[in-house]
Amino acid sequence: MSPEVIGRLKSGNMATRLRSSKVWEHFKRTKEKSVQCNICKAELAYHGSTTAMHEHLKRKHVLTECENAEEGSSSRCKKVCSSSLDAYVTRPATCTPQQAEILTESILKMLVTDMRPISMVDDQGFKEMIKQFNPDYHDYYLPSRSHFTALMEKKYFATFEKVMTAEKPWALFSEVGGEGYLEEVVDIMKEEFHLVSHRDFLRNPVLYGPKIQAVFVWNCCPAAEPFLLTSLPSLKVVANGGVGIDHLDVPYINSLGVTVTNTPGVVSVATADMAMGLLLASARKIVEGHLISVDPKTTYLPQSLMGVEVSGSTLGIIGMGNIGYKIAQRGKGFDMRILYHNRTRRCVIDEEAVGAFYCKNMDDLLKESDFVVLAVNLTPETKHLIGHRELALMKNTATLVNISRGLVVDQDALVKALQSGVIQAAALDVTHPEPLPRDHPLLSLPNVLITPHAGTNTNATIRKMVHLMVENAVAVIKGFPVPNEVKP
Amino acid sequence: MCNLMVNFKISLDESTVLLSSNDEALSSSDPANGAIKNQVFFASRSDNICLMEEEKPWVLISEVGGDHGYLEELADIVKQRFRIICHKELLENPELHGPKIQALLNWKYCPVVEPALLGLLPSLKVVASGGVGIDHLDVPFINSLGVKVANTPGVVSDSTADLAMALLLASARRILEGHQVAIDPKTVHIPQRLMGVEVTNATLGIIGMGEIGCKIAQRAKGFDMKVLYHNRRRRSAEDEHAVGAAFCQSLDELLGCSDFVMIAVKLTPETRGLIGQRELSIMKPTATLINISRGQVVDQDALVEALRSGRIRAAALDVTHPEPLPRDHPLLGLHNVLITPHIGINTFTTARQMVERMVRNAAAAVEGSPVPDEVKLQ
Repeated sequence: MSPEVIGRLKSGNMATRLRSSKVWEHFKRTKEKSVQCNICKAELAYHGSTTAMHEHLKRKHVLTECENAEEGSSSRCKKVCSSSLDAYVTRPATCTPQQAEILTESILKMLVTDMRPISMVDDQGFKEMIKQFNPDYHDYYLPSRSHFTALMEKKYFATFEKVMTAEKPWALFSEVGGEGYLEEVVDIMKEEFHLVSHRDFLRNPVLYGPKIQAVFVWNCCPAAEPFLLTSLPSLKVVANGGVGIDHLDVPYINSLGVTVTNTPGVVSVATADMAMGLLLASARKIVEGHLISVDPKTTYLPQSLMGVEVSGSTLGIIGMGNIGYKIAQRGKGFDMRILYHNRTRRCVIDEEAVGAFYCKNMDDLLKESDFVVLAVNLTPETKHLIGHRELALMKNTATLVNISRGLVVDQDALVKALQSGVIQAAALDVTHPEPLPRDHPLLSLPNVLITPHAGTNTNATIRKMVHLMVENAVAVIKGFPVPNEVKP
Repeated sequence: MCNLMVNFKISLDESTVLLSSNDEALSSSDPANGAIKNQVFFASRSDNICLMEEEKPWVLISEVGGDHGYLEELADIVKQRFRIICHKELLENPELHGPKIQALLNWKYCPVVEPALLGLLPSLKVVASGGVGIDHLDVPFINSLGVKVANTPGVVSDSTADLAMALLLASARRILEGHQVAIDPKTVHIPQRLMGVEVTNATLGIIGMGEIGCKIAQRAKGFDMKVLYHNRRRRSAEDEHAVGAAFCQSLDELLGCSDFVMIAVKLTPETRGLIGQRELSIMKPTATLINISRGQVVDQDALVEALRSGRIRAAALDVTHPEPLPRDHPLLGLHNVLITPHIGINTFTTARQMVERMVRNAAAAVEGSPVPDEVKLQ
């Protein structure tokens, strides 16, 4: 146990200086139980405040040197001591630099044995690993995660390469945990690929760059920009998780000889379910009803909480792709009259199966619908598809439901329409941006329901999306037919 | 022979027939006039007749307006056939108003039909209840006073089934939580962990396959859900096939297999406490319970325990016991419970249709005609 100087304490207003010093910061962080005074080597107890320490310094050291200080006075010196007194305070180290190095080695060895690249471990997992070896750890001496990763690569990269199957290609992904992937689905990716997180790649692009053949894009991360793509000379595929690819410049990526894939189909039912969920929740005022039911001030059942009828009403679907069609199927169950507008008309069999009527002119659909659902993809043609004019055409008892992209709607026009009663309500799973700035008017309108882009948020659907994303990437790399190539 | 000047006015949208007459001809001494006065003219689809104000019988309702009373437009439907006395008015002067009242309209349990109230109404002919449930009325007792009871089946089924599906989806996809996160001032990122459960291809178990239960099954079929049902009597093969529902002889079997359990029975001595601790423990830990019947069908304490301990995933309730719950009730504080204030029929369209039915039932009873939706006990 070698004590170490961690701070110097100038005399003067002892209490203030103490609290603002690094010493105090250290105590707060590590909650050390005892302290040794370096002047007289006395052991001082620390009970969560610096009083004992200060008292000691004042009585043992200040008082003997400073005639002006009063006997038995409060912990604050009444006068500034003219003689500057440096009080050295130490703390016993629980982990020496040497001990830390041993700890680092042990963890590295454990990762190699488990064949777990540091990329696969999120921040919480990293802390847990360290605690496993030393429950009283404090991060004072231990290397940071980035230093750790560098050590690992330097010492064990060769081992990793030999130990792991040589045939698996390398893929770049965003991160585990945080805003990235759930741990449960990373296994799916690991089965086919060696994975490098974006963070680790950025620290050592020269090492990883040439190896990477696939980039997995999830929630628009990592951003498939020229800066990234040009540092991946072996890149064959950018595989997107999800069906929307408005965030990818497909022609540019293709020009680099890289294929783009997405995951249509598997997202359709969960998104269609969400569309109906939003439609019903808005129409029947579920959120308002719940808030009234649990409000501490509620004493009676409200008679005036009236919604609008869904059964037998008219549902207008703009965009009749996979998702739009599934929405029509669900609407039929509610005996809704279904209208749809699409670039191309669907075949008669499809239309009859869900009882949908084609509206060549979108205006007709807007005029007649009680519920307008947007299920288009975002393209230059569909940007701001719904603006002032379209909202004015809608019934003033109508509800707008958007599960496509925020930019399909002119949000300012929507705000005005809702405020002035041009339409009755809106239910949005998507906005622009996501999330909206906290002072955006949409957040405070009473007739707006917003969900945080949760259209595919079920474990079952997420797993299917990741499976398909991986399958697409593997197919491109191995030269098999690609299930979901995105062609411009 | 009576000389009656009768004017007809037909309005195209409402198809109402306004009947007005020369006052002198309709003097009460002429018995023929009395017969015409009492006759009901079915001149239109909506059976709307405007009588002279003085001829309209009196009806008792809870109140008009405010948070807890009838909306004005619904009260207007009542006023087409009746003159209204509110409960408060009656209590202020029961001797004056009581004997006039021939009909009582009961909605959301108001006014409470107790012997004390009935005692004030010697001329009462009918209690017309809004909605299909009549568990809150002591029908034998009311009948024993020579008073008929009527409800409004049929008109409420669609909107109640809609609300059942709305609750199912909102709970499964965590729409309430999503909205609260989306508008929370502290939100800076889209949350990645707000995961719900899949509705499509999941198993829906419906307990009580009456009209409402069948409509719920029809809606669930649109989501490709697998539908099981349990009922006192098995429905016909045709009915089952129409909605793709499979019969479960044993309630336990349904509970063990379902991802969503929907309660759509009516409240009777047999169904009281139907879902208790035992039933909740048979359900899957990933299952959601949805109740649109009556609060007393579920043992609420057992439900609280099951939700707290994770024995079931979540619950969505349009009905509780009592309504509303006491403000310190544990159900209000659980994060996996969605509660709505008995709004199963709360749409303008359905409420209007329901009040029209109530009025029609009440008017028929007052006139001595057969009551279309009379509740007859076996």
